[in-house]
Amino acid sequence: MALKLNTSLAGQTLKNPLMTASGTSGHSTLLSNYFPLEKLGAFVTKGVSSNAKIGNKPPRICETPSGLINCIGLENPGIKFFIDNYLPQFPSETLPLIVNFFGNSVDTYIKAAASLGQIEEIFALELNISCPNVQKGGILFGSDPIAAGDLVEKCIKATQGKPVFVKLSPAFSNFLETANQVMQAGAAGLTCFNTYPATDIDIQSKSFKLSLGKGGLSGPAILPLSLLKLHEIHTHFPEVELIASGGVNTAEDIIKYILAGANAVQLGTSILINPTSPIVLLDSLKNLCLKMGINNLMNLKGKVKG
Amino acid sequence: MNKLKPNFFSAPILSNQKIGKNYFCLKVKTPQNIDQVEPGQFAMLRGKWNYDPLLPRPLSIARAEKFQLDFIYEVRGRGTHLLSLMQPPREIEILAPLGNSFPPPENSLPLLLAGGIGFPPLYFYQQKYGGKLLAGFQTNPELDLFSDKIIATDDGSLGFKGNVLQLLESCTEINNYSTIMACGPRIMLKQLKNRCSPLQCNLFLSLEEKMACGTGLCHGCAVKSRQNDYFKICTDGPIFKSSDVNLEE
Ligand SMILES: Cc1cc2nc3c(=O)[nH]c(=O)nc-3n(C[C@H](O)[C@H](O)[C@H](O)COP(=O)(O)OP(=O)(O)OC[C@H]3O[C@@H](n4cnc5c(N)ncnc54)[C@H](O)[C@@H]3O)c2cc1C
Ligand SMILES: Cc1cc2nc3c(=O)[nH]c(=O)nc-3n(C[C@H](O)[C@H](O)[C@H](O)COP(=O)(O)O)c2cc1C
Ligand code: FES
Repeated sequence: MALKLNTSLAGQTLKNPLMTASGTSGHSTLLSNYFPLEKLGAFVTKGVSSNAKIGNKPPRICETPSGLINCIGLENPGIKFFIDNYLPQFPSETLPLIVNFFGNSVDTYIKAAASLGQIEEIFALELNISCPNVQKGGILFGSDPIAAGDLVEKCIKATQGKPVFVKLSPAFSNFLETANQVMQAGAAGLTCFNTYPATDIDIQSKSFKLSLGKGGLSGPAILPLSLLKLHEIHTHFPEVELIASGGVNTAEDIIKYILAGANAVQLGTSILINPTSPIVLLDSLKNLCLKMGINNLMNLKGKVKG
Repeated sequence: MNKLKPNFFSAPILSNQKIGKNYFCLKVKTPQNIDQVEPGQFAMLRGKWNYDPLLPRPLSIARAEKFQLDFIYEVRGRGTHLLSLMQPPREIEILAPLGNSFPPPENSLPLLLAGGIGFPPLYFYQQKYGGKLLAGFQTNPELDLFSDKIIATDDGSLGFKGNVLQLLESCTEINNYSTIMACGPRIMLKQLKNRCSPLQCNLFLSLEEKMACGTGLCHGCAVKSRQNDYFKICTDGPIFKSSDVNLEE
């Protein structure tokens, strides 16, 4: 029997569960230097906002054991530039495109959602709530479940029907309540999760290794943490469509996330280490499925025992 | 020029030998002919170890001929240490060629100024096109690549005692050069930029920053532009006209 790798999100079939993670494949089709992007289940762009952002001062990255901390600062050319220059590069007929977006106030989020919501070539939006609200003293939207729910409801209204996946922050112990609020607000599903707040210090210069003093940790180091939280969300909200993000580097990692309840799996840091990693992992996923006697990958969703 | 597209490949190690105090030369076999690689371009390299170190390391290409790439590197931390232990017949993952390159000479040959482990791309340039190379080190690098006359050491253990800019002032007339190319620590590049700003010369700098991907995906390798936004060193550079970048940030 032919191996079925396809999955579905917001009513659309994806040919396989692999997608890029926002911020690790740019705003454009640079990655197509390394493989045909249509091989992916979906492509998630780096975050965009209404106004361009130049990003943080260097140094913006540092390496930790099996991890990468970044404080890129959401550098992006602004939504208008993105729509005019980068969006047309994508083969949107054959590759579902998910555009990640953010703001620094409720109004800028809504403005971004409204501009992107009109674009037919975009399959879905991914709303990054791990951002500070400048109108509320810099408190992170993702830290307050009620504020997050309210924000998501307003953005969804502005998109006029485009599916919105909400990308949760793993940094807050109330993430289950946030998941609940944003799903009630009408989100199509959840991306679990963004990076973990982290830092590193250079003992010679006695200074932080990153210009901001801290950043977000990604890579293999975070996989066990995000795997646990994703499973907790799946246990509480078994009907909710989940996109896993955090530390995936092997076909085994993909299967773990699906067993824990994911419908799809993003590759982030692994693409930075090897830009061909999506097709390498797709091949090894096929081989692993054959070896494990799996005919339909999505039959494993949420099937972890005990 | 017909620029080669970057390619990710597993490269068999031909040799990886100590060539100086803390310096190694790694030679690898490539799956495609890389004659078109230009001095200044670089590669991301990673041994096939598990997750630590996680990221590939950027190294300049020190020579490219037919199906062979050479790198010269200094052991600085864990990544370059592990790299120095790898011997044939092991293979190494390489993403190359990356970035832009120093411009080929037009009317006259350039002055090439290297600080520390900044010399490999300039050495490549000199071998390919010529030019006057001066190289500064903290201490005698024990390399067999250069004549003592073009070396400066901070401690005076070899060649001129002082830094490479002081050597330059002592042995040649900077005004004789319409083009200067340099690679080295940021502090040296800043001093050189200041020194050259009243002059008429074209100054090209090879910049370094921590890199995760080397290929424009992560936006990790930022340097401030004259317009006050950021360039990505890996794809907009690593070679910049000095007037295009703001090194003061
Ligand atoms: C475009 C480019 C070309 C380079 N070419 C060469 C080359 O031809 N030969 C060579 O020996 N080195 C070169 N480097 C520097 C080299 O990448 C670093 O020395 C190396 O990554 C250190 O890795 P590590 O794990 O051994 O050290 P780590 O443990 O990561 O760090 C040790 C020290 O090296 C510094 N360092 C780490 N990464 C970089 C980096 N990307 N750039 C500069 N310093 C860094 C750290 O700040 C620290 O002081 C180049 C860097 C760039 C960006
Ligand atoms: C360099 C870098 C930039 C990122 N930029 C964004 C971004 O713009 N928006 C966002 O929602 N997440 C961003 N992320 C988070 C990733 O999308 C992903 O959720 C996280 O890195 C965990 O997955 P990984 O371990 O596979 O990398 C970024 C991560 C990295 C490493
Ligand atoms: S190192 Fe990733 S963009 Fe330059």
